[in-house]
Amino acid sequence: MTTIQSSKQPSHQHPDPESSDEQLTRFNKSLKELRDLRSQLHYAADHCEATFLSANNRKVVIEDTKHYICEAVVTVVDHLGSISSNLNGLLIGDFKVSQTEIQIDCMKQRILACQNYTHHLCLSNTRWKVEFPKHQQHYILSNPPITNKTGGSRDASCPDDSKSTGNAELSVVKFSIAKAIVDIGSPGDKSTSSRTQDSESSPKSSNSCDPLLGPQARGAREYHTKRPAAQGSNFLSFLRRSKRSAYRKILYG
Amino acid sequence: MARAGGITNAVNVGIAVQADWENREFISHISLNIRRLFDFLLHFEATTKSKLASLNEKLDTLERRLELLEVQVGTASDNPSIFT
Repeated sequence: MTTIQSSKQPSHQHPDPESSDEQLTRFNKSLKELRDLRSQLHYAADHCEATFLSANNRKVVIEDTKHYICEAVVTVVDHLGSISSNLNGLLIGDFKVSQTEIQIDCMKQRILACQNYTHHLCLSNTRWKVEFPKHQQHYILSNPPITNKTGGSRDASCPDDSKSTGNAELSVVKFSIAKAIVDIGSPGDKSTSSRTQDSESSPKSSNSCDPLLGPQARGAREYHTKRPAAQGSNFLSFLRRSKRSAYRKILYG
Repeated sequence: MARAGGITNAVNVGIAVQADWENREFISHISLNIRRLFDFLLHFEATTKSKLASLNEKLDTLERRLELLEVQVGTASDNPSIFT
């Protein structure tokens, strides 16, 4: 009678991440042993049947067969326990999966950080542009309202404002000088007085000043329009008056 | 003599009946243990299927995450201007 090969005892080991390959090898080995045990049991059953039919003392054969069946069942249970233990260890000890999950989460965090950085860069480029449109100098007004040449800063626009105010003050001084000369030369000059009378008599000419520009603008316009004749007559009248005053001082002490 | 032979036959029949009952008891024990073994195998099959299903789900999730990361990295590699 054949005897059943004793299999390995089932190993109830805790899952170890480093011995996962060993567990897999052990599982494959125990599974192969169980498959071999199937054919071995079929062969043993046929042998027991043949021995029972051909034996004289069948009682002994039956007892041997019982004993063999008991050992076979124990062996099968042992193999099944070993296989289930190895498979359970393989399924529970999925440390590689957890490690892969951790690595993927790490990569996801890195990609999220990169995305945040790129979004920050794009937003900063959208908010602030260093290169502003530049125009030629002769296309810019003398007193631009808001145009800023260098990035819209107020300090940069101050020189233009001071320049424009200086030009305005210079024009006002020129106008006041011209008006003084006109006032000086007006009493002695008949032509100018008659001209002023004419101008006063004609309401159109006197009231033709632009209400938006005001009387100063009107005087300046008159000064510019009547400039050559008035300037020459004023100068002559000024000479005459100085001569008269000098004669009076000499005559009357 | 005939009486003694009848007693011997009765004893032999009794012994045979007792052995037959012992064999039946042994077979019932073996069959019961084999049924328990099959029950264990069925339970083990269900447990193993459940664990394999959960493991398969985890692997699918990891595969999807990896595909998503690959697409994101590919997009970022195709558009390097966003990093400048």
